[in-house]
Amino acid sequence: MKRPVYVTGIGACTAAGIGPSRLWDACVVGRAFAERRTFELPRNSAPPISIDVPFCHAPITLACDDVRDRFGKPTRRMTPASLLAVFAAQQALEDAGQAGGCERTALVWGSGSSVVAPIEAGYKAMMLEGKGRVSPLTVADSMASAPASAIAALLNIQGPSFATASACASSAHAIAIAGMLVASGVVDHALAGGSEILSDPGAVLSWHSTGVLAKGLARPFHKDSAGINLGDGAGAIFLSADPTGAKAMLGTVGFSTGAVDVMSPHADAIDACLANIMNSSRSGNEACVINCHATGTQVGDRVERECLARLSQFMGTEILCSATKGITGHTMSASGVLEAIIAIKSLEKQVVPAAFTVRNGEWCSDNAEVLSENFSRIYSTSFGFGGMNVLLSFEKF
Amino acid sequence: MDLSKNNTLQERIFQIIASEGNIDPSFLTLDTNLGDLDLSSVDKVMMFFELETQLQIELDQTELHELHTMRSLIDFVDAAVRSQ
Repeated sequence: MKRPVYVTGIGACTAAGIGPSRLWDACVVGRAFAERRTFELPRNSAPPISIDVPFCHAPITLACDDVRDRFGKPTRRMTPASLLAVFAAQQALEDAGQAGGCERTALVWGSGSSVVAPIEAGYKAMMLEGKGRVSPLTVADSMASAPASAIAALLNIQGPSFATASACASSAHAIAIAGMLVASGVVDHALAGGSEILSDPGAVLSWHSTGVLAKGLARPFHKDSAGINLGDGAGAIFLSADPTGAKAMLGTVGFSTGAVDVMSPHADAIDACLANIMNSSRSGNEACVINCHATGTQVGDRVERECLARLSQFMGTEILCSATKGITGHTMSASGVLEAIIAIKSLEKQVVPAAFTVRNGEWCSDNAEVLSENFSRIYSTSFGFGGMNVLLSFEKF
Repeated sequence: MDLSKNNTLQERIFQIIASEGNIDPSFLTLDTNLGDLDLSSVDKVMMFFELETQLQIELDQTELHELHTMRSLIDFVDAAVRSQ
C-alpha cells in the first residue's frame, strides 16, 4: 500500500514568536532574533563559569503557561521541554481541525539534548544546594521519549508513538518516518515534530566548547559566516491520508549516512542525500528550491555549498538555496520541522526567503535575497552530527 | 497509635500528601481512602520521596500497597520514624 500523504496542520514556537505565521513573516523580513545573553553555571568554591553569546530565545514561559492552563493537573510536574513540545503539537492538531483528537494516529517526535536538563538539575541540587538525593522523576524526565510521552498523554494519541534522535536531523527523520507510516496504511494520520530548549547554561557551555558558536549574528552561506547562533524552538506537522484542508503534499523523502566523522559533514553522503532530488520527477525547467541545512559554521557551510554547486551542474537547472537559521537560530532537534514549515509556507506563498542562487556550479550571489518564483515542489535538507542526513520534499497538489 | 499526641507528624504528612497530590487539605481526614484521591503513579512516587526526604526516614515501598487510608499511612510512617 502506498498512498498520498498531506500536510493538514502546522504549529510552531520560535524566537519569532508563537505560530507559523510569525515565523514566516520574520523569514520574509529577514529579521535575526539573536540577542547577546550571559549564561552562568554556578560553582561551589569558585566564581561561576560565565559565557556571553548571542542566543535566539523563544517565548517558552508563555508556551508552558498556556499548556498548564489548558490541561491542568497532569502538567504540573512536566518539564519545560515536554510542555513546549505539547504546545507546538496542540497548535498543529488545532490547525488540522483535529483538536478533539483522532483515531489511528501516530506520533513521531524528534528529540535532542534538552532532555538531559533534569540530570543537570539533579547534580546541581546535590552538589550546590546540599540535597541528599535527586528527584525520582529524573529518570522519566530525561528519557529521549519524554516529550513524545507528554504529547501522547495530553493529546490522547494512542497509535504508535516514539522519539527519533539524529542530532540536528531528528525532527526531519520524524516527519519522514511519520509520512511512511501514513503512506503505508499503518495509520491514517501522524503528528511529527521536534522541540529543543538550549537556553540552559549546561547546553550553552557544551556548545561553546565545540568552538562553533558565532560571536555575532550567524550568517549562513555568507562568505564571512563564522559560526552558529543557538535557539530554542518547537514545531509540529500533522500528516494525513485525508486531503481535506491540505496545505501541501509530502513528496520524496531521502536518507543517507556519512558513517565517517561525528562532527564534520561528509560530502559524499550529502551528495547521496541530494541525489534524491535528481531522481524525483521534476516539472520542466522550473528552479529547484531547497530550504538548506545551512548552519553558518565554516566547515559545514563550505561542504554544503560545494555539494549544492555540484548538484546544480549535474541537474543543469538553477537552484535557489534558502538559509533561514540566521533568523531562528539553530534549534537542533527542532530545526528540521521548523525548516519544513518554512518550506511549506514558501511553497504556499511562492516566495523563497534568505535565498542564494546557484547556477552551473557557481554561487551567483554573496548576500541572501527574498525571491519570488513559480515552483511546484520544495525540498528541505537536514544534516545531523554523525553524518545523519535527511531530505524532505513538499509539493503542490 | 495515639494521634492526639502526634499532631505535628500527622500535620506534616497531611501537608505532604496534599501538596504532592494537589489536593485541598480540608478534603483529607484520617478516614480518607487513598484510592479516592485520584493519585497518579508519579504523585505516589513523589509523595514517598518527600515523606522520606522531609522526615529523614526510609520507607519499605513493598508495604505501600497495603496502605488504604490516611490513618494506615500515618501509622506506617510513624513506625518508620520511631525505628530510626
